[in-house]
This record gives sequence, structure tokens and C-alpha cells, in this order.
Amino acid sequence: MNNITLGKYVPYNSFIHRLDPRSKLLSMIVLMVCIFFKFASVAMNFLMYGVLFIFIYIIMRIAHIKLRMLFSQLKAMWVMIIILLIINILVKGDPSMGTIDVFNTGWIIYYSAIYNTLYIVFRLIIMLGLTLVLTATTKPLELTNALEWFMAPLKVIHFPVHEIAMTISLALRFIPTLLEETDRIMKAQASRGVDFQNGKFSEKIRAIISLIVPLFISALQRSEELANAMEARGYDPSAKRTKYRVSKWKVGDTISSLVVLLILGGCIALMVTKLDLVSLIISLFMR
Amino acid sequence: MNALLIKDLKFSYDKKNTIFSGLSFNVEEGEYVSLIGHNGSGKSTLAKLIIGLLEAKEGVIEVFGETLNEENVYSIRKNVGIIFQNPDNQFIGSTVEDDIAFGLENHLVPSNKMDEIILEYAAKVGMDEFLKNEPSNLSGGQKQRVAIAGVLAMKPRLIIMDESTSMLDPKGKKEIRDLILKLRKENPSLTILSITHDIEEAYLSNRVIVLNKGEVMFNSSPKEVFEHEEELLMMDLDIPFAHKLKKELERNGIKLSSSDEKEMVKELCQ
Amino acid sequence: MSVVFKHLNFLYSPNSPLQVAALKDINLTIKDNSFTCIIGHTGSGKSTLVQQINALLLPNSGEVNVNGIIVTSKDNQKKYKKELKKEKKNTKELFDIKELRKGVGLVFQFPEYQLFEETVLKDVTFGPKNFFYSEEEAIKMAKEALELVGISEDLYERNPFELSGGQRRRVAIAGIITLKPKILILDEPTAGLDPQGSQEMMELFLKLHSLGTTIIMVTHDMDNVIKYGTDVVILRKGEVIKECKPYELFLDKEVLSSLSIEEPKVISFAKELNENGYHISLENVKDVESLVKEITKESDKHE
Repeated sequence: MNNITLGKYVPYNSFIHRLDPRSKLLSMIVLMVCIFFKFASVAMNFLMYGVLFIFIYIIMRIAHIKLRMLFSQLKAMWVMIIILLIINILVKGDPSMGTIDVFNTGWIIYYSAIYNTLYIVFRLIIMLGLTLVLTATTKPLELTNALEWFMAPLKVIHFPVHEIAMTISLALRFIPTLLEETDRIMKAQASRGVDFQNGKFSEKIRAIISLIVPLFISALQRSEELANAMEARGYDPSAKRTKYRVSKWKVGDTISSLVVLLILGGCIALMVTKLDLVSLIISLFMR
Repeated sequence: MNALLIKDLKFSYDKKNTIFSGLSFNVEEGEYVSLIGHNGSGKSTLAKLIIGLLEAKEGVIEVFGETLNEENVYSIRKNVGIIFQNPDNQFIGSTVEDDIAFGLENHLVPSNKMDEIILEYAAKVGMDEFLKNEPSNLSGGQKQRVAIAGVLAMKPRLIIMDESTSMLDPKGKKEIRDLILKLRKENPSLTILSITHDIEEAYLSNRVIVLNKGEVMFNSSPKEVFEHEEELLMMDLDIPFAHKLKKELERNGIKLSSSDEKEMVKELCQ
Repeated sequence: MSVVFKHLNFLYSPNSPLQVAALKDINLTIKDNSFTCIIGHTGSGKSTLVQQINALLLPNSGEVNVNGIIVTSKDNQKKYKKELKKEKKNTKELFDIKELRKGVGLVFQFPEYQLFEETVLKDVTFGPKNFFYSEEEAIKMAKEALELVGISEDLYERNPFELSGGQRRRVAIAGIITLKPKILILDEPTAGLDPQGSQEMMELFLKLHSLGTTIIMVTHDMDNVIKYGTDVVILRKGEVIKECKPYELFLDKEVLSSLSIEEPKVISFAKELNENGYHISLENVKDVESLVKEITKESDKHE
């Protein structure tokens, strides 16, 4: 259970780490929007993905995140990518992009299917990269605070913004504790003869019940004790509270947000003008 | 002045199990009182009643002269801090500093003043080098020290220790015991009510109250209370080593006058 | 049924930057029918050590031999199998984890948290059923175990979660000893119990020990070590630094101070008397009763 790297905070003191979580969250959302644009041509799409990837790679370098961390995440997704490819191949594509007749058997694969799968793979890589940067450089609690800040306008319609933020941060706090507990209960039941790996379906169900029930009961007890501890320390969900972690928007945040918005602007401009940079460059060289 | 006054307190969870049927005792300001009793004698229920997490059927709970009721529950909690048993389940923040800050946030302390207060109280419990640590990297004793810092930062006048050392290893127990003594030295007006079954810990307090079946059986200095060995053993309670030894020696025909370990050695070696 | 550790090493998160050696070159024999206490600071590797005996954790190198069943890394198992195949010996039983766990019971800290069935009896039969005993046999075994731990018959059909904390722990322990393990491992079995409850619990283990069970107990409680232990193993930072009789531990000033172990009061009292002219042999001092016996012996001599 220790090999989960996505969502784990990596303590460093880089420029990215020091940025305001709000600007980081905003930038991530904006960049995620960028990868869903469609540009003038297939080559142009790949060029833009490449540019975005390089941008993210630079950020990762600044934030001391190793490329390996990103690819170890992808490992788990290979199966998904292959399934995607199969589905895309089976579905009728766009013949205008060309087709291949496999071994002249009449089984036709559309190029568009391969492109579409590749698009998804590239988007996935970039999305994973973005989340990795955000979660590795921002403490979960800061992230929750940033979310709370962005959702603050919803308070007007009595949406329980504060309660949700508090719930998330408590959940984050107790994840390691509950993982430890899961490990302990699994071992305890294993020494009573439960086999969590092998066995018939019905045995597996029983094995899982023997894990889930104790886990659930202990989580309930924990939450009751936690609630008592919170109330005893003067917590009242409906009352006003001050905040220990106040994030400060600094010049760096303004600049980095501007850069990201500039990228968004560029993408929109390229999309609207349908400018195909790739063929432009090629034609320039051909001359 | 009474820090805590309990008069004719009645409480039961359901019809069958009456916990208290008219409990009365007091704790004076600046006193360190231990409340002992076997599991199920209602010790922990009492702590929850005092800070209004549970509501009594009848009787009066007075905290620093103020009678507890539904309206003043929050203002009374400002004067009372409580340290619970399980170190993990009362660690609310994701790091040491966040946990100490939690109570300050509730009490509307301005953000720019918090760092200073957190550092001050973390230093008081010897955790100032661990401010950024997460609970999973701390020992049980360290977590309980953080809980104490979190409570102290709210400047309570009465601290209730609800079996706060029972889940700790001997090292952790000692850490907390020493810390309590140190805090009392620094602030003699701090009142402590310790609910415990650690007899050696009870021996350190000014006064011991023994609860049995929801009633006060004994209420006086540790020395006097532990003279009642027979009755305490009957109630499934432990007695300190020296008292146990004295009694056992007596059974074997060796009568000693003292119940202090050093004195006993002297008497035996004469 | 003895437990023999041979050059056992165990790493947490191996091949990662977080790699920590939790156990270093452990060579240790836990004797048949002993009541062995394992002591050391929190984080010294006590729990990790005992979990190897039950194959809940597999060593990275080295092995534990639990009465003929070998707990070792997957790679070592392959090597063993290859060699034994040459000699045309059966290798199946050599690494049979299920058989191993049948003979080795492990009581975790706060075992009451592993209860999950609707009734006390059902929960205790869970173990035997996992080891393929029939319903009838399982119930018979469960009833024996429940009687042994002192859970009365009127509680058999009750929901375990309605019971008191102490009773729940007894039920959980019954669920483990119902298989009549030859070796019973206890990880801080008295944590969180009141003095009376914890003494009753220890008396139960003493009874099991007298019935021929080897007891391996991880503990912080030196009073229990001196009172019940026949042997003691001291761990520090993943290494065994001493193996001895309990009373010998309290004669070793170096180990005592380096681990900041608090001496049991009976021992320090006896030592104090010895400094003032008594000749009590610490070996016989186990609790207040035996201390007094020794004192009376001495004072008789004086007169």
C-alpha cells in the first residue's frame, strides 16, 4: 500500500511548492481545459500536446518531481489503454483520415481510431502530470482550504461549504490511520485462517466481510470519539472560526496565473483561427 | 473556590443501567484530584457530563460557580479542557501545529497571533521540534502531549484527564505524569481532575476519590485512601506496591508501621 | 514445538528510498513450553519479529523454522524446492502456511477489534471453520475455548458488541485458542485493561502455559515479565541484544539504563534489602507474595 504516489505530498521548498494553493488549483483547471481543445489538424493536435507536456515537464523539474513518478502511475493504466484501443478499433471511424486493410482480409482499421486512442493517452498523461504536480506540491489541507475558498460563493444558496471542507480534511487526516487498521485486521483474520488471496467466491466474500465489519465498527467508534474531542475543544459547525493557514496571494501567483492564462488564450486563438502551424512550418521549409 | 461542584447527580444510559444515583463531590481550584474506580464504574461518563457532551437527568454540575445548562455549555467549555484516552482519535489536525491551532480557530484567535501561541505551548510540552510532523510519525506519548498543548493553548482553568495514559507504554506514561507535575508547578492555580486506574499516578495527587457503583466510597488524601486495602481489593481496585507489601508481610507475621518503601527497608533491616 | 530464527533480516519498503531495516540478522531459539517475553522500545521490531513466526510477514533473507515448517522468502522457497526435488522429497508440507497458522495462534493488540459475527459462538467458530472443521466440531471446540476464557453460556448467543470491553477481549482470545495452538503469540495482551482485568487475563495465559502451550508475549509491563516469564528476549533497533532469564535482566545495569527500563518494584525492593544486609536471591522474586516469602526466610535465619 506504500506504492501510491499520486496524491502524496512531497516536501520540498520549490517555487511551485510556495505558490498559493488557489493559484495552483486555478492553473490546473485551466490547463486541463486546454487539453480538450481540437486544433486544425492531427499533426497540430499532437504538436500542442507536445508543447503542453514540455511545459508540465518543466514545472515538474522545478518542483523536484521525477518523471518516473508519473510513469509509475501509468503502469496501472496499460490495461485501460489497450481496452480503449480495441473499442476504438471496433467502432466505425472516420474514413476520410484513411484506413488500413489488415493483411488484406477485409478487416478495416480506421486511422482515426488510432489517433483517437492516442489523443486519450496523451490527455491522460498530461492530466496525470497536472494532478501529480498539484498534489505533490500542495498539502491536502491547503488544497481543501483552496477548494473552500473557490466554493465560498455557494454559501449564499446555503450549500454547506465549510462542513464539506472540514469533512474532507478529517478524511485526509484519517486515511493513514485507517490503512494501518486495515492492515492489522487483515493480519489478525489471516492468522485465524482467512485466505485473502485464494479460495472460492463464497470464501472470498466471507473473507471480505471479516475485514469490512471490524473496520466499519472501529471507524464509527473513532468518529464518535473524534466528534467528542472536537466539541470539547469548542468546535461549533455553525459558529464563526478563524483560520490558522491563511494563504497569501503573492506576485509569483499573479505571474504564474498570467502565464497559464496566456497559454489558454493562445490555445483559443489557435483553435478559432484554425491556424495549422505544422503545415505552415513545413511549407516554410519546402520553399 | 470550587473549580467543580457536583451535587446529587443522576444519570443512566437506559432504564436497566443506572450509572449515578445521586453523586456528590467537589474539586477546589488549584487541586489535583484523582478519580479511581474499576471499568464500568462510570468514571468516563462523568467527564462527558461535566463538559456537556452528555446531559444529566437530575442534579447540579457547577464549574467555577456557574451551573451547567444548555445555554452556557460553550462558555463553560472555555474553562475546561479534556484529554481523552485514545491518542489517535483526538488528533484533529493533520500536523502538530494544525492540531494545536484547532482550538484557537474555534476561539476566534486572529491568524497572525497563532504561530506565536502554538510555539509557546508546543514548547511547554516539549514538542516544539515536531511542529510539522504528522501524527503517524509520532509516538502515543507524543500525541498525548500535543493534545495537552492543544488544550493548554485555550487557557482552561480545569483540565480533565480521562484515562489519558492508559493506552501508552511505560515511557509515554512517565512523560505525561512528569508533564502534569511540571505544569502544576508553573501554574499552581491550574486544577486537574484525573480519571485513572493507574494507582501510582493517583498517588501523586492531592486527593483521591474512589467511585464504586456510581457512588463515592472514599474521598481523602492518597495515603488515607490506600489504607483501606481490603475494601479497595474488594472493589477490584489495585493498591500501591508498598501497601500491598505491608499487608502481605503482616499476613506472615511481620508488622511494619510505615507504608513508605524507604522506611520499610529501614524497618526490615533493623 | 520450538521456534528457530536463522540469520533473519526484514526490511520495510525494500528497494525504495524509504527502505528501513526492521530486523537485522536475528538468530534466536524460542524453547518449547517456555513463556518467552519479548521486550524493547516501541519501534524496536518486537511486533515485526513475532509476525514472522506466523508468516504474516516474510523475511527478506534468512528463515524461521517453526517446528519443521519453514518461513522464508519466495526466492529461498524456490531454492529449497529445487534441492529437495533432487533428493525426491516432498516439499509441499515444508512451506504450508495454513498448517503453520493452525499451530500458531496470534493475539494482536486490542484483539476485540477483529470480532465481526452476530453472535459470540459464531465468531469463535470462525477459526475452526476456516481450517475445514465441520460445524459440529467447530461448535464443540468453540464451547471448550469459551469455557476456558471464562465466558458463561448465557452469553453465547449474544451479540459481541453488547458485551463489556473485557468480555469482548476474552471472546476474541477464545476465537484464537479454539484451535488449540501449540504456540500462542500475544502482542500487548493487557493494553487498556484495568488492573483487575489485566491480572485475570494473565492468569488465563498462565493456565494455557501450564497446559503445554508455548507462550511468546510482546510486552512493556515488567511486572508481568518477572511474574510470568521463563525467558526474556531484549530487542533494540531491530537487533537481539540479550537473551536471558527475567531476573538476570535486572542485574544487567548496562541494558537496563540503555533501554530505560523501569525495574519492577518487587525487584528494586529486594535489591534495596540486599544492599542493607539481606541475601535474597532475585531468581525467586516474582511478585509480592514470593518477595515476602523470601523476606521471612531471611528473617528466620537472622533469629
